[in-house]
Amino acid sequence: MSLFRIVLKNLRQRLLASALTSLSIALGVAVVVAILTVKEQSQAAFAQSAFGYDLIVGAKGSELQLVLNTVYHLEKSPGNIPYPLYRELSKDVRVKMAVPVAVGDSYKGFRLVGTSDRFLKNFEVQPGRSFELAAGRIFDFSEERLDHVMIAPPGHDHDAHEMPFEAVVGSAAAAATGLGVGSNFVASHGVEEGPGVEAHEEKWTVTGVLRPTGTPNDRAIFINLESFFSIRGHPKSGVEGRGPEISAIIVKTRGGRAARDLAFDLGRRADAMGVLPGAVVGRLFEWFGNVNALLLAISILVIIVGGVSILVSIYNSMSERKRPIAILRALGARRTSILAIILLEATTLCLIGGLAGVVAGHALAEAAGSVLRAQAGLSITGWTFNPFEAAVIGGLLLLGVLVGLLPAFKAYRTDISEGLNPSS
Amino acid sequence: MRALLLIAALAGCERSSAHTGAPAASESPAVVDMLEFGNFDYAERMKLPENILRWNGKRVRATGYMNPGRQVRDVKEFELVMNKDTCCYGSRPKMNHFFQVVMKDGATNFTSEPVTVTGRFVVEETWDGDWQLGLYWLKDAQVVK
Repeated sequence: MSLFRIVLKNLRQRLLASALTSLSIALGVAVVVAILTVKEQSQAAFAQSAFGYDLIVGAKGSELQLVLNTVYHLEKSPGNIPYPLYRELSKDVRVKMAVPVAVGDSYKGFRLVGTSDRFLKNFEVQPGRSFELAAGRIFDFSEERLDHVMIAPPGHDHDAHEMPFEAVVGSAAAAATGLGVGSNFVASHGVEEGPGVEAHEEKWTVTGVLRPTGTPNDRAIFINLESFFSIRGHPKSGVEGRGPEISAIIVKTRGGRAARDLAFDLGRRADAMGVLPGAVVGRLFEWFGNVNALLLAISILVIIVGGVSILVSIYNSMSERKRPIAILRALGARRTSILAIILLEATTLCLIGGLAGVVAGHALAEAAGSVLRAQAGLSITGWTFNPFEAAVIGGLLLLGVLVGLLPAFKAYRTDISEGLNPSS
Repeated sequence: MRALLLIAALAGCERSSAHTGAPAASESPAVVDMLEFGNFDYAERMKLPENILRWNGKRVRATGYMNPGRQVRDVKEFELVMNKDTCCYGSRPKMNHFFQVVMKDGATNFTSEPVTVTGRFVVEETWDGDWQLGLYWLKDAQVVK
């Protein structure tokens, strides 16, 4: 009988104890694998660690919410800011270029971003890297038309026949929705999908599709800002008489202390604030890193506890195994074979737990991914594999050998005569 | 802290009398306090105080906070600022209140923790037309902590 068959027989005889010890290993491995899988993809989703601008101006409130909404197209907008602030900033000596942004509508879960054509033409995705079209052209935008729409008297809806309703679609949004140059679509009011979502009457035509940028912009659908404010039901003259409003302003400054200087000035206003996206995103990455490190430490601890439970389980079974071991020895098995059987048993338990943990970890990541897909629009799947998982399995084999050593030496030193003695 | 600054300053003076031109690569950086560099009312193109100019061209070691600008990872250039502007009643950021850090080689990642940077301190007013971009520079810099 081969050593491995003896090991399997031993495990079957103590099925419940074996299953429970393997389960503890599986739980730890599952958490490690799930963290690795989700971390890798969520970091890719938040890959925008460099910006083509220095400042985001938005409603007073949470800096993180403003950045998540404007940069990552997540969360809801923290509120609106006066449209004249855009004109004011455009003329500011510290500002090289400013573009207005309006958000709040979506198409099949992909957010519509009303903005100027300058955002796609003159701003960079990241320093030194421009937006590129895979097909078509950038939408038609006019500052004069925007001013005309924004200063229209209250209650007056702009004549939709004169207004181009055009869109440029990010690569991921185009792939998921099937939108291409020439396609038409109708937007939904709000950014959530589901029952009760109201569709707008207006129809946009796709004029261009962007090349992949590897940033959240791939998930956005950019529309000319004037069309956003020409939607029936979007009061361009502001809510409750507050005057025309937009969601945010993206600013490229002239450098030096300009961004901090502007943020200082905006911080003293009651109706807006300026946020340096780099600092906010940097802090976000730090939090991610800390939480990941903590979760990894906890799951490694769970694996170690699982290893110790294997040690305890096998060690405690040694007294009842004295006789079978003595019989094996009497039948000619060498001490090293007995040592190998126990070591193999411990590593097999670790390996079974590890493999079960890998499968469970990916299932867990898939479940987490589906929640993130639905709630945050992040494209995360549990079924991608990280090379580090192979290292985890290798580490488990080592752990099996380590925890098997003590009981294996106990078995190694089992005396044949003592083991065969019925009183022992 | 004052004693440390004095020792650092003396060490720096001694070296400067021994060497002219570019400092030797092996020169150990003198610890400087950024507060000293911001402790006067700066006006464009003014002659800077002697206690600032004496550091020009010297290797220094300063501690402050990173302002990452447009880049969060692989940062090759950033502003080293004295504080994180978290006080709503603080004063407007001034030109002499930050060092523009240019990394020697490689790059660093943003951290919200204080960082210590060594580099060659250079006084150089740089302009983009009528807009002043920088005054104090830390060139060939390395983040050491």
